[in-house]
Amino acid sequence: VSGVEGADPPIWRLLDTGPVTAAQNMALDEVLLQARDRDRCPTTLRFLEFSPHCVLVGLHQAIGLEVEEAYCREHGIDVNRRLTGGGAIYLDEGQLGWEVIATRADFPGVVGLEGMFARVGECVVVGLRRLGVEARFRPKNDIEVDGRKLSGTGGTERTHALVYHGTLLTDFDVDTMLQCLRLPISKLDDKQVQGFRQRVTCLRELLGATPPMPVLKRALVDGFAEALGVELVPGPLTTDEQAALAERTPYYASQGWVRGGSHAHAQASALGTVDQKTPGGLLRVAMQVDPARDVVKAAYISGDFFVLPARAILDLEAWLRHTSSRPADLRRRVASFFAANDVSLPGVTVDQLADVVCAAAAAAADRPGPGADAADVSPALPVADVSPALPVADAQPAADRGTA
Amino acid sequence: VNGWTVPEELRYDVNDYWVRVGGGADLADGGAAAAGLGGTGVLGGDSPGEGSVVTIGLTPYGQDCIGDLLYLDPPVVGSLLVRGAECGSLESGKWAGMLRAPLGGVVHRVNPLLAELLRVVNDDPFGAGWLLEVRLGPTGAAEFATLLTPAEYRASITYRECAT
Repeated sequence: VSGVEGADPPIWRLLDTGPVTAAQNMALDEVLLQARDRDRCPTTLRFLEFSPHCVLVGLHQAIGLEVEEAYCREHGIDVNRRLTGGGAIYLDEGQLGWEVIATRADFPGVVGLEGMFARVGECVVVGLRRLGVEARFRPKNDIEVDGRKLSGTGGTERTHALVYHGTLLTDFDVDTMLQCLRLPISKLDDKQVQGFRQRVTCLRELLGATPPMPVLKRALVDGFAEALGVELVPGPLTTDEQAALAERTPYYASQGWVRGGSHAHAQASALGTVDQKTPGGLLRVAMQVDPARDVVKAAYISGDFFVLPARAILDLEAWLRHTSSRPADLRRRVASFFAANDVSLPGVTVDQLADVVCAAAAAAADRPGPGADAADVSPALPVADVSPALPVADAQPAADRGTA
Repeated sequence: VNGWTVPEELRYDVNDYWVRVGGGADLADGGAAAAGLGGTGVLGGDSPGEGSVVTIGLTPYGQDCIGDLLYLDPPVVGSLLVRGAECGSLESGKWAGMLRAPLGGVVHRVNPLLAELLRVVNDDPFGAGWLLEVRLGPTGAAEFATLLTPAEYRASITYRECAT
């Protein structure tokens, strides 16, 4: 798009509906995808805000396993289902979602899904830099600051069109999130919640205050414009889009969609935790595994060992997520991470770490699902505080992007 | 191509599906069909005709691009497939993508293993991890002739790897 001297930049629509319900936002995703697929709307950058606050599960998740429905009902929290994959998220009214509705042709020179993820992720990174936040895109799906996740991303496609979106954490209400999502890491004490917090960050924490929404939106718009060389022009929904939105919203508010029908799969996911003493200190690994599919859903590595750079552990957790949970594959994955990154782990060998990762995955696979029950939380709680033994200010970034 | 397996007896499409003339391999048959030795259809890359059964799967390169599969919703038996159009869905990581039919026809059989052992797609992509058997329709035979040869598919991988 960019780099053509003198050529007019492509024009994208900037669509900002303001806060709407989860059902309206999900319906609008479908409407825009269909319209772009049929070339009946321009390529669009859209902002998403949710009112009331809501929980969104991933396309294939079973709500009963992921959401504390009674709590959500009592607190006026909408529950809905995304068109995209991934895990359940809680969005309060202060969060800002962004998404691109485009065709692959809108990203010339970009090859493959990962290339597109990185390209769009770079737009957000450039926008955040305008706010003074030094973020990076971490393959495959995260935008992070010093290894801590600031925005998750995901997407889906139709024949010609795709949507790729993410949510910027402006603030992080971890207490409400733990109440409304059925996470295996629930039932944690304050220290452990603090450990969980260290894996994510938010703009309020990074900047000292939450930027006003117009400032945040402006920064993202400028980031997309700069990174892609496009011009973003505010525009409304077309008449056809408005009609389609009105027609489709009841479906996205219906139990048929929210419950998922044939989309919803019972994702039994248990948590296994293993502690191992090493010459370098205690190594604690908790793995959340879907044993029916042999897939790692999440990894939490903590303990009192020393690691440089500190972010390497968070990057390794991301590197293991959504990959095979089988021992041979996990060993290869762990080894490839350390082969590609300059990480110092005194007193702990890569093989020892791989052993504990495999043991925790095996422990998770042996546990009965679903993993959301309190019984699945191991007595050795999974999300211990990583920080005390880790260097707080680390000036040695992992080689390359921190992941292989 | 950089270690990617591209069997000579298969045909390919740009969305990283492989197509083989004949039925899919079952775990119990010892992979005979996967080797092109099954009892149905025509061997190897010979052109099939209308009514022939072909087997479709995802190439290892394509799987690497997508990532480990978490969910796969294949089409039901009897579904009509249109080349390039959606015929099912898959999820890997946070991407919910489409299965795109490499050929037109009617779904003859869905690999029964997919429902219970999805990882077989990653483990044995050219054998027990096949996705669909498709009975070719009137356009399917002509479409088969336009699929990529192994050499063309290798070139496609090279291009994409260089671009990234």
